[in-house]
Amino acid sequence: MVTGSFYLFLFTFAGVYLLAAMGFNVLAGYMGIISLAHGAVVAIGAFTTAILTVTYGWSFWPAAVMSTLVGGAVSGLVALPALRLSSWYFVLITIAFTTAVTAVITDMKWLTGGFTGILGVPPPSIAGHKFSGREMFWLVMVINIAVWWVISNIVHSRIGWSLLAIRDSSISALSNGVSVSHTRLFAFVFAGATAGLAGALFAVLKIVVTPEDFPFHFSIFFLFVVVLGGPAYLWGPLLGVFAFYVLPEMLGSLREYRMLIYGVGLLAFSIVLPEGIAGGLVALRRRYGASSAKKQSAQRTVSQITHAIRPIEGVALKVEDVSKTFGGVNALSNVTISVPAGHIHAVVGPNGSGKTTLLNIISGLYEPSGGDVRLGDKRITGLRPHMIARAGVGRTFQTPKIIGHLSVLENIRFGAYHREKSSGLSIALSLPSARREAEELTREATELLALVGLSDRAYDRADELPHGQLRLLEIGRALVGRPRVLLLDEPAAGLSLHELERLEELMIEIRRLGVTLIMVEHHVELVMGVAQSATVLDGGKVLAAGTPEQVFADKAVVSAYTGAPQ
Amino acid sequence: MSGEDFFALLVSGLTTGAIYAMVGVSLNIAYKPTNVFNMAQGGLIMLGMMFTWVLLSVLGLPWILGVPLAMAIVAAVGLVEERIAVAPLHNVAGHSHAWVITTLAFSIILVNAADQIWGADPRYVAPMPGTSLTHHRFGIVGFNTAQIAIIVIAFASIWLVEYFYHHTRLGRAVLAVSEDSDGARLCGINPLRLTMGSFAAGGAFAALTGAIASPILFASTEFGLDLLIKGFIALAIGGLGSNWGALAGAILIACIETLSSVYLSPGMRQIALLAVFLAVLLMRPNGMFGRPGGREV
Repeated sequence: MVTGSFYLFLFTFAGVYLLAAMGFNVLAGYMGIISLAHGAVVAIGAFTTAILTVTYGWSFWPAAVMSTLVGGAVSGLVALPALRLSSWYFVLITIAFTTAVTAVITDMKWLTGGFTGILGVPPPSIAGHKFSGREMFWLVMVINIAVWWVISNIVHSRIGWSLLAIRDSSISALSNGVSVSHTRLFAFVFAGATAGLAGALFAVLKIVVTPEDFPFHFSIFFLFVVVLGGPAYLWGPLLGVFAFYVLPEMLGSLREYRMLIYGVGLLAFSIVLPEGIAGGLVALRRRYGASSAKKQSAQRTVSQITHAIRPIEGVALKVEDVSKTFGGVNALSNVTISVPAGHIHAVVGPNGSGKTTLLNIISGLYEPSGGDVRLGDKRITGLRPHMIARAGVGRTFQTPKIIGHLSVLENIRFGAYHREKSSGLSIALSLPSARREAEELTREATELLALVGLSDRAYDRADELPHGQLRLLEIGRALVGRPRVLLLDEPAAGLSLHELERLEELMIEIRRLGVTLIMVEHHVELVMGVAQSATVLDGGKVLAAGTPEQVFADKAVVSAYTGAPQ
Repeated sequence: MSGEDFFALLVSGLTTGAIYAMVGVSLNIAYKPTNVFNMAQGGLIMLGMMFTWVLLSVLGLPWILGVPLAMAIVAAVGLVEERIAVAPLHNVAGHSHAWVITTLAFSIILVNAADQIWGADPRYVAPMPGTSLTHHRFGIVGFNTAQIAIIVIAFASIWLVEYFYHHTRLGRAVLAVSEDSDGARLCGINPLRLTMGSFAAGGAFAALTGAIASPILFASTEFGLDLLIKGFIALAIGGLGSNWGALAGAILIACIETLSSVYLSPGMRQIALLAVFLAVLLMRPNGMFGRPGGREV
């Protein structure tokens, strides 16, 4: 156990760094935003507590709360440019911010004491009893365990999944109903709050707080710890802090070369082991350890499963006179399509005829240059993509956009993002109501997993699936959101013969559930087999519309595909 | 502020602006064919300063020999960086911005290795031959010839870089790759070679920047980060990829910086600069002269 005051002190400090690093993992690891302002926020938290306790005589507890709030608020402010700009711009902005914070702290002598800083930060006390070094250690540990628990609740919920979804592809996050800007803001505020709280503890431990305690490489330290420990792994920051703070601190002679070690480590890990120590350990366990996956052996037929799923009330979709120009190019001109509720409608056409553009307009990723899209009676033109998803439009992509880091089941479960009503707070605190709702949705996701035929891979990492199964996974993810209209972008592309049969069966069952289906597809037999109606696009214009039999017999269509004279 | 003070600050602002502009251009050179913003560019400039000091002040080489030698050494370092920190990423799956961390890591290595060797003390480097720090006056305008030399070299070198891009086959090949890498490959251009060449050229230009800045800034291992940020801000304001835009952005921020030094403390000056910068970015995310493109901004 902890013996000797040096080790006690060392581990207490390591705990403070772990606290800030765990928060940083949410921002940089899970959401993939590289910030070099985290150390500066810790500094602001430390000075907040130092000023409030020493200058204004507050006790530690309210001062620590204030540090947490200030840290969250400052981090939220720093986030504002990040909501609009590309991520590497943001790295440089945070560097500028960090150097500015240090300079300002040194400048404002009247508040921060300038170079000499603030002396004599008092320890926390309860009922007149002042905390000893050992009690400080336990205080830090208790806070760490609590924060660990909260982060664990968050990252195993729709909030954590949405962070990863934004990191991997913000488009898939949007089409699952995630508001990217709100989620980003949350991650910044959360990371900032942990940094602020860590700063408060830092001030108490150091007793004297000066600007020199927070050099620029303090911010790099957090990046280093998260990248090396394992970004987006709960254990990552712990491994990172232990390996690269505690160990070199014990080997005192290495201290001089610490920054060089940071640099070499960052470079080596980003290239050789991008998932860090934690990711490496998990990969080892996957390769050599006993497969712990709980296999579901009971194979049921597709229709047996659909009977267990509540019907969905599909809705009609109308595309009215929609046009889209990119620069001077007309990708779509005056396209009108009307799909009755519960029908399967196919959109076919040669490459570059505007099929995917049409899907992107329906799901709100593009704004049309003219025309309207109606969902039932409701006009959805111009709504933000996540609002359209919430209105009941689900979709899949030509290149499946999944969260490789998560299991197959979690990926499907993520599709229920906008159905989950529990507040962020009740998820973070794992309240019974939130747990019940999560269990119910997971049960539904398991049913849909069976429906798309991936039950035996439920606990495998999604990036281990072959291409064809990723397509089925995406369909399952869209279905758990209970879409009233489902858009499938070339669902048959790259499927094996067996998977193709499954897909055909699946589409018929999805229709039986009541969902309106619109698919972009080249596969003529599939279209003939399942679709009630079809539209042929060519050069952005409607070439033919009607039943599949009608359109494929159309002379203009044959000519567009084969080049045969009409 | 008297007129004399104002003009003294203006000349000093223009000089600093010329240096920032060169930093921005060196970033552009590496960015053009790769879309990689080299976080270690500040470290390369710092190396240029230190090698200039070693070659000129310690070994006593003449300027005309020492500076090209420093440029060659730093070009080699740039090439090494491309090989170990950028090229391997083509094979690593994951985030498309992994180069942010690897080039930052390379920068940390450069700065700290230099610090282990030379320490952080500022070192004096004599102005280039034919110029001096002696003060001259014309009416109320005061300056020294070292300042004039920096401004002239900055303009001339930026003009040369622009000439290279628009009037040579190789330069146009770089522009073609930055426009559409796959398309350029189909035309028989080898993007890999250009990437390596651009990092080397970016290194050489960084060394030149360090060499001409060191007489007025002094050579120090602590310079890299600050120059990187100033060069980036100049670029972001002027428009990423645009060299004349970098010059305009650089002169703007350098003048804000020097003129505000009269009224604001160093910390507040940085906050003011950051505020101006963010305001410009929020209104024009692609900078004043940048083209809105397929970039994710």
